[in-house]
Amino acid sequence: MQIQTDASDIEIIRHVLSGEVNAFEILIERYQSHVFSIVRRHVPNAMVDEVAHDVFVRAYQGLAGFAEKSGFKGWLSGISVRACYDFWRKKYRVREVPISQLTDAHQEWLENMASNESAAAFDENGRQSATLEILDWALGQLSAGDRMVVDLIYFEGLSHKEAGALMGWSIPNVKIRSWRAKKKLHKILFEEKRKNRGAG
Amino acid sequence: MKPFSKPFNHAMDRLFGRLAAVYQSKAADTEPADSRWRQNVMRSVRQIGVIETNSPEGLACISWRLAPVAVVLMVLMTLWVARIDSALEFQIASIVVSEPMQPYEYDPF
Repeated sequence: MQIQTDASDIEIIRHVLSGEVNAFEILIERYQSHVFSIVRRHVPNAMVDEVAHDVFVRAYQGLAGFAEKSGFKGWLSGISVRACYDFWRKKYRVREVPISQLTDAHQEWLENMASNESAAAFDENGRQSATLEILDWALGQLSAGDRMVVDLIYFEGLSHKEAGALMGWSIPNVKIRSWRAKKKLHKILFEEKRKNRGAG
Repeated sequence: MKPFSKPFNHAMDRLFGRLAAVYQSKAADTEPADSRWRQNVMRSVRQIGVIETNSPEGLACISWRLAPVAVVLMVLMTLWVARIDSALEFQIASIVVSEPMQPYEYDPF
């Protein structure tokens, strides 16, 4: 039986579960931009395609366990975030995350940030790339879990409840992790600056 | 939990504000996936095949996952029973040794 492309998610899922594997492509087409928008925020650009691929394969494998009461989009968002988390866990396990030192430009950025200079001044000075490098460097010092929590809570502005639902963690766990991760980031960024200044 | 100090919060808020802005721009930068990517995903999906719902394989999988737990429980229970058993035997032995039965005490008639 041929399924219409405008059929509801639940209808498509029922078709897929009844053995019509090709119907899953409609779901991919429908939600690929949503999945990509999540994955892009959490993993390096070069790995986005691979992780998004993994998200849809996991979604297909877990389709039988999908509860119709929860929306497919929300369910897929959770799978996407956890796939990104697993990506970083794997990276950290094989120690592929570079632990580099801050350059002079980065240290200057941090100096300015610690002072009262306005955010607009950074943009005028073209510090966007330095900020991006600092961000990658600082997040690279955190554990995979802390990294995901910082991304979700502080950079995406999700509540503890929302982040917990996406990661499959309890709210107190997310609260404690986010607090610790923030403290750790402060130590990484500001103490590194002080250390480097002392060495110079 | 110790609260953050004021200067800490101030510096961190400013820093996180800047990092968050760059983080958001990072997500908007890249182009969408092409149809070749979608075909690759569908190839992987077809390789997996039709999903079995409520299959006996799933039940077997759960049984295998529970097997190590069952073994550990059995070992623990065996040790527990052995310990209780030896403790009882020790108690009986100590009673017998401390209070030996006198021949006149055993007179069923």
